[in-house]
Amino acid sequence: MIRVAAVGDIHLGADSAGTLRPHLDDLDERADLLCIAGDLTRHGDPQEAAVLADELAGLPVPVVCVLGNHDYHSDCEDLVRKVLEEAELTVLEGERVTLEINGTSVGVAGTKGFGGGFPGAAGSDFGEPEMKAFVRHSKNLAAALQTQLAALDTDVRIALTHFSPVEETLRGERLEIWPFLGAYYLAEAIDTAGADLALHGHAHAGSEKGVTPGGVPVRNVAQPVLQHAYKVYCLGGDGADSCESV
Amino acid sequence: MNELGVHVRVVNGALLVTGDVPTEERRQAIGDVVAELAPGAEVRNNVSVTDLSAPVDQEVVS
Repeated sequence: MIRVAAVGDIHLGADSAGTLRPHLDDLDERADLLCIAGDLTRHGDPQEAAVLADELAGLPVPVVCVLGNHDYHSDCEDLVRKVLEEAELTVLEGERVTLEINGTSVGVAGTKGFGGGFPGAAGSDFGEPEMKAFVRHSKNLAAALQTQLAALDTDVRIALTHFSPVEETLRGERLEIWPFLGAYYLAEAIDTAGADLALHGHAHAGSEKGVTPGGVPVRNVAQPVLQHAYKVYCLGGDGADSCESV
Repeated sequence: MNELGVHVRVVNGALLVTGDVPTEERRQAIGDVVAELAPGAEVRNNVSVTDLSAPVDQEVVS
């Protein structure tokens, strides 16, 4: 059984030092891995990333994250990533990582993902260059996620994104903005490649639980949804109700 | 503020501010900014501070 702690949209700012770490010090008693589903910072300022790096440095479990749209806002996403990687956090963008935890191999494939909408209410790769670029960006990120998920030969596979792959976890958000909160291309990628769990954030007013059309559990772990420092999901067990570590 | 999930709308003549933020300092700062942008208006700061405590339960997904 692998215990995956997950959270997104923590939006740390320069004034956030000391706000997160006190709630993570005993994380290894509760989880084996921490996944962060993007929007790590408020504005993508490398100084904000440095605050996060300090908060997470030396955690007793591995940390895997993707960036979110906020982490791109200052056009410093490469530097944000560098700051986080220097603190030994794993940052995925169209990439994968494999971890060995308690004799179980765990693979995480990640991308920020992007918007575009959902069947019947989706943008299309048609018309103006700007519209085509929008949709193609979303499709390209989903395709990279699919490639990386498919390449994972692990006991447990997790898809980690910022934008949502399904509509179900957006319930609570205004319907008009759903196309800016996720895209069905991500769900197609996850279903085609296969995964045990899909984690995303971005939808602060959304709902926690959903499922892809292919049956992969989806969890919106945006912190305002969870109303806790993180949530723990247990994978790869025998289906028992308990969530004890191996 | 909308990008951070904080919303402002007019309700019964007052400015109602809603959303979730991680700290009390940010909640107060948002109220101050709205009051500064709308001098003389009644501001109802209903922004919530997210509970950052560790979770008490877990979910067995598979």
